[in-house]
Amino acid sequence: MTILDDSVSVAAPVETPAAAAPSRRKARRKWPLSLVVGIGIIIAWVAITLVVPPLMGRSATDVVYGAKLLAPSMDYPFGTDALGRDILVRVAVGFRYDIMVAMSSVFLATVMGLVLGAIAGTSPEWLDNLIMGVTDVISAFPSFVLALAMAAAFSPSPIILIISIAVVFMPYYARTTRAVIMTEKGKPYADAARAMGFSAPRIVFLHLLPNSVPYIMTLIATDVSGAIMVTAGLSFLGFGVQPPNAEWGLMISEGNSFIISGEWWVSFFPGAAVMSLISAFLLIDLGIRRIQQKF
Amino acid sequence: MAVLTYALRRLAWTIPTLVGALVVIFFLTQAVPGNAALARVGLSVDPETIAAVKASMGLDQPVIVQFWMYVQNILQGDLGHSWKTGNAVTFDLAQRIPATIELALITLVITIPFAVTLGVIAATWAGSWIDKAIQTYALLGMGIPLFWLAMMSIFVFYFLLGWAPPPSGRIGILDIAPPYVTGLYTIDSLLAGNLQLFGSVVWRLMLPVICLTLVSAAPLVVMIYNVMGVQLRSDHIRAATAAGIPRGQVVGRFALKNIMIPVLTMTAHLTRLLLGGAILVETVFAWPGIARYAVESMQVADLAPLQAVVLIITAFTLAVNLIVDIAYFWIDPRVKVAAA
Repeated sequence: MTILDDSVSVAAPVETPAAAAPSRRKARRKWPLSLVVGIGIIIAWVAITLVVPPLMGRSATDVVYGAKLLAPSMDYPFGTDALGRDILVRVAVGFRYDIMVAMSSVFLATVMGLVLGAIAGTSPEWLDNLIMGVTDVISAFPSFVLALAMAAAFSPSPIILIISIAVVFMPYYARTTRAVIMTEKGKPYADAARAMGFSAPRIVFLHLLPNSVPYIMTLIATDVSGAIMVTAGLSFLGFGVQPPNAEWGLMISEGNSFIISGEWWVSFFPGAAVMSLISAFLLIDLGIRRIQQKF
Repeated sequence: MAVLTYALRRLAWTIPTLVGALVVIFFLTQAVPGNAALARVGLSVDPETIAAVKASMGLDQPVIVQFWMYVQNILQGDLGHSWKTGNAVTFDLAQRIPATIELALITLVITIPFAVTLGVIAATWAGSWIDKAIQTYALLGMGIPLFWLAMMSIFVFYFLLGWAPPPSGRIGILDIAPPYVTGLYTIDSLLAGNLQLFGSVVWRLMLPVICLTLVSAAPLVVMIYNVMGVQLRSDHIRAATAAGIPRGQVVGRFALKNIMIPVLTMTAHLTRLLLGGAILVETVFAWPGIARYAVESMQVADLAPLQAVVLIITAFTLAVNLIVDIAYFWIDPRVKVAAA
């Protein structure tokens, strides 16, 4: 699920993983343009975050006295903020926060979803119902609202942020995993594994679970883009990354009071950064789907 | 009759989810230790007083008892007290709900035809420049942070061009709110016959609605595009085309009819999007709705308004899902067969 709640599958002819396997090598010969562009943007960001701060010789929290709210110039290509900090350096450093929080939360969501889905798919009915009930309740909330409520209930920190986003994104992974386990556990190879005397956890995690990977892979790129949006949104409202750290959503909110007085650059550049990174992951998602369609 | 049975069954399904949501909301606010008592009496009071206040508020009771009290209060229409505004939360909400409804409703009414039109155009002329333009819009629309778009639109249309009003809420400082009838200023100002005020209200709605529409339409355009693409490749459309029926009629009369059900699903989906988006838009435009109320309360750890707003939004979402599912059952005979 993304922040956009893109989970309503109107047309979801999901191909079976078995049918997806054979022609993989063929598809790899030519990557879709969107995939290349998406990955290119992310590589560019990694380069920017590594190269820019040393190149400018300033850190994200360095305050230059007498340099408050300077418009973009040769010295400060993105201008400076209300405290006299270099916005270019802050945008470059901000990438680290947003990508780390977004990727960790999606990773955590995947792990939680896999484990809960596997438990639900193999356990007695009451436990299955309980776990699925919990995921239903989570999906009942608009995702941004729940993440906001969770982040607000605890003292704000990146860890809380990651956990909040992960919980909100978890249900889809749990439900998919459960569905896959349910269908796979009756198949002959599962019987064979059982007949060989393998333990239940081994069968579940090594034999059954990998079948859900193709389904989950398609969702990860979209979810990372959604997680970036939630991270920036929560920080914008003051419930995510806290000052004086350089995080894009926080930087946009720091520019909020200057927008009606014309200092556009304070929030323009971090916002453009958020947009480029989210679009990069959406493009990657698009590319992955193009590849899958070829199978 | 079958519809009624289905509706009741579906309603029975919703109740456990709502109870679960109540549990989540209740325990989330429990995570903040002792806040309610401390918030009421202040930090500099001796422990005995705090204990007494806690007891009077029922905070010394076991958590289960407290939860039961919470549910009882909600059932009696008591959503608690906001210490920031000093009012009952229900009172505060009553004042703010119309602002959010007006914003969301107008956006909803504009977004659906907008998204359907773009999606259908792109799918009908797939591969053309207009398809590419619409696809690009959809990608950017999904990638743009709503609050940033809102701020940039204020910069361009208010600061640079002067076409839009300053981001200061529903009416100008010198305007007087229309007499209360529906709470929706657009309707109330018309009912009062005050066209000048109506103009001012619409002017102030313009930017927030456009921003919300552009962002929430983007994923819907993609959905419509996909559904329409499948439709246009289907056998009955090919047959119609082969029979020599003009393209416009094929699309308008045959294909369009079949995407109405997905559009229904999208309406439910869109309300979720709008309620999430409203939080950010209301913050940027100083829009006095419930989402901004929740955010402002949260920022000073005033939790009753937060609980109430999350509850209302969730209950509303569940209700919309319920209605859509029932409408689905009504419209689509296949669902009836599957349910029977």
